Amino acid sequence: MKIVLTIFLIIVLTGCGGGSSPDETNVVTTPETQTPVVITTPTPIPTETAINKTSDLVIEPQFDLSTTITLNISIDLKLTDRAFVNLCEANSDGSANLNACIWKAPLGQSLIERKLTLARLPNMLVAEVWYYTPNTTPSRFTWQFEPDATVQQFIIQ
Amino acid sequence: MLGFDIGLKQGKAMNLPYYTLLTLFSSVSLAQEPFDICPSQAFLVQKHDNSNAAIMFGVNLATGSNKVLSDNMNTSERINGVGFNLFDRFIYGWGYEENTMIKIGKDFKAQKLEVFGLPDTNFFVGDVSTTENALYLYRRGGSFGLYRIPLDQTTYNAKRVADGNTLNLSIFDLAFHPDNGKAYSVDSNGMLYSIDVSNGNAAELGNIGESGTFGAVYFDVTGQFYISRNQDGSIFRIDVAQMSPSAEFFAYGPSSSSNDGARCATAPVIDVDDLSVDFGDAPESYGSSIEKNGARHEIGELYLGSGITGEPQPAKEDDDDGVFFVTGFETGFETKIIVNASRPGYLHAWIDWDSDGVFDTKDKAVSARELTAGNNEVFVNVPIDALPVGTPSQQTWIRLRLSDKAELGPKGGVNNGEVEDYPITITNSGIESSFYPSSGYTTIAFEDSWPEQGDYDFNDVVVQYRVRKDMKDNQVVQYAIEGQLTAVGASYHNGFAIRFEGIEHGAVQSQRIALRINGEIQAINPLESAAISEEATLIVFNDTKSHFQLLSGCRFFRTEPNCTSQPAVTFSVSLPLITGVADDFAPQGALDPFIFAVNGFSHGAYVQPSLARQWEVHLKNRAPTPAFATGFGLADDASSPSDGLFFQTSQGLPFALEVGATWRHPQEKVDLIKAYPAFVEFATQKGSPSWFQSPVIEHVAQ
Repeated sequence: MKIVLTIFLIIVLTGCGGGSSPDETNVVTTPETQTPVVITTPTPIPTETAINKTSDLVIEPQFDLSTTITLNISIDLKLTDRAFVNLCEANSDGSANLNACIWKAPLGQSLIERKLTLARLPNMLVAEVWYYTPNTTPSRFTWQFEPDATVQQFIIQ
Repeated sequence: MLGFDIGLKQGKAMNLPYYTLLTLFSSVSLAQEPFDICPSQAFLVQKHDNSNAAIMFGVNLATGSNKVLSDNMNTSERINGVGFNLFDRFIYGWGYEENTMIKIGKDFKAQKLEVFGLPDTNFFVGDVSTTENALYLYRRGGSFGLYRIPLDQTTYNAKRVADGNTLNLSIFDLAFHPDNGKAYSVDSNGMLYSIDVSNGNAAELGNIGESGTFGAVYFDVTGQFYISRNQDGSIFRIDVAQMSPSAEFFAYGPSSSSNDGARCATAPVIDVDDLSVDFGDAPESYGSSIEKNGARHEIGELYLGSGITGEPQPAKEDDDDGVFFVTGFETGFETKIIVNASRPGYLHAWIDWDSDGVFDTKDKAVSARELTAGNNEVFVNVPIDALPVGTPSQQTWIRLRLSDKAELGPKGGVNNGEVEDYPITITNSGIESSFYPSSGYTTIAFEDSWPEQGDYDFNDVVVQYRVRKDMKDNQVVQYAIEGQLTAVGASYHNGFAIRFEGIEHGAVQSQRIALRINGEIQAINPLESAAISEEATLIVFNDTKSHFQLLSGCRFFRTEPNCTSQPAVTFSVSLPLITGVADDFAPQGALDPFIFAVNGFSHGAYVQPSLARQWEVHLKNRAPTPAFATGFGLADDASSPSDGLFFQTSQGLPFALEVGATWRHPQEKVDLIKAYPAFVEFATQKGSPSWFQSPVIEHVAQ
């Protein structure tokens, strides 16, 4: 293991974001930079001190803090004509909020299976299937997060 | 009864009985009052349907709507040649009942004023000058001509400026420019004239392309000239300052005859507090503001959706709510649109198929479709060639207008109905799209002091965006990203980029990539060189600090209290692929966003300015790009690449955070858990993933 640090003359870092060091102009320095390689496995440090700031936290190294959810969706409606599905957050009346959709897709006769990534836990999703035939009403299918399920699935058939 | 001026006694004989004179004289004591303000509405005077008595209308030039201001102007005959006097805020003109000048105040009662020096005739062309306190009247013919009547005298003495041979025009009204002192008019053949009223010399400025009887003409404060055609009520706008002025259809006004118009020429067409007009909100190139003759409607009982509100100019946050795009716009197929109308009316729609920024004739997608009250199905055929070859999808705009007009264009004013503009995405047939997140943005917040632990206000760089992923047959064919640089609370110069892990540089249609920042296409292709990154990487902001000006008194961009009023820096970019990538192997969600140090700028003790691009910060446990060469294990960094652990401290603290919502970042120097206490349980115990929904309001950006 070899660490060679570049030492600049005077760098005072205060505040956030690398501090408030005045660096609005190009800085000409003659640093010597190496590429140190340090491989260690971080180990959470147990603490019993009060948590007053973020730096007091201890987080599992593997926990990436993501709130995403993967939803497996399967649609097999055995359609004879083209249709179109909007998978969206549900309005209070059960209809699809077309301004909050996760997936929009034309539908045919074939089975469709997709893995969709949701950025956050939704309240309720509705798959609204619209048909191109005039004066037809859409079909609606709803899904809610199942906390005990290992895999989140939305099967429409 | 008619008003009567003292000067009348010495003037031209008027055939009024003596008792009438007495009555009128007494009414003069009820002194006329001027208009309170210089009004934006135009005045249109014409005769009653069943008599010759004058009736006064107020006309909103922006929409063509009109209403009766007075149907009893105290005269049994017509009034014509009217003009609004800026000097005393009265309207002056010509009264046919006694063949003399009249004066009208805010009660719209005509008061007769005796004038000396005029021929025994009537005048139907006239206006009050905007630069001198005088009424000008004109009648064609060698015995007549152009007359000037000073209005700042106790007696009114007319003087002929030019005889009818010098000024020989077939015109029906004239109006004074707000600034240059000249009068303007358009004859029945469409020839536009400017008239030097000091000598009666008229100059032909060109044919404006419309003909008819333009019986009411007006100016606004910007020097735009408005002419109303008697036959059909059409109002046209002319920029008289152009080398070749032409008439642009502006609004549907009232058809009329025996009319004349007056207007305060120093008033705007729409007052800043006018909430009676609805505008579209598409980009200005489509015509949205009044300056661009944007689509606009006088609000009333006919509208789309559940309601309508007016605004004096296009609003970014509009109340569009009556149109539902329930199927995709796939080339070669029909799309179904649900349109909700409050009442029966005609629907017109335009789609900018070729995304050239204007609605032209070929863009008319729906023409005079009769809607009933409630929901209506509307079908539109998407042209098979609506997209350039090789383009999976493209965003464009649709404009829908509901009104009682069976004939309607994409711009101009209407006195009823509503306009709604929407961005839409046209796709090739069979394209499906996923959206991350479903609404709003996901937020990526960075600390930029890596490998040293930061102050954890997570606002050094804050970028928010939404990813649309287009697929065909389960193969990803394009990513499209739109979002904003929300905050920069850093002193260091940081760039922002997005890596598409698993997609090779050569798999991208690089020539089709277009990065827009604040709506402007950037000259530099954002796809990073393959020499730096073999995987596709888009450099969205080469230097986040080069895209904003700090507000006075602010050290950072939108992180300090009272420093968040300036708009975020918006961006959009797409990554079309040459061949599809199987979705199972394609990057998902927020992709791989990261910041990098900007070459040439200092970035702390661990960054060499000339090689600053080698420094990166990614989300926790996301590996850096091949360009990264700073190394791990420095200072507080405890990354362990062999274990798949990146960009974290020995306590597992990250240097970047994704929040799957349009997050309000902590204020400058405010610790994350002070702003979001629920983060503690989430981070340490994998608690509620909705931690970001419970901010301490006073500690987050407002």
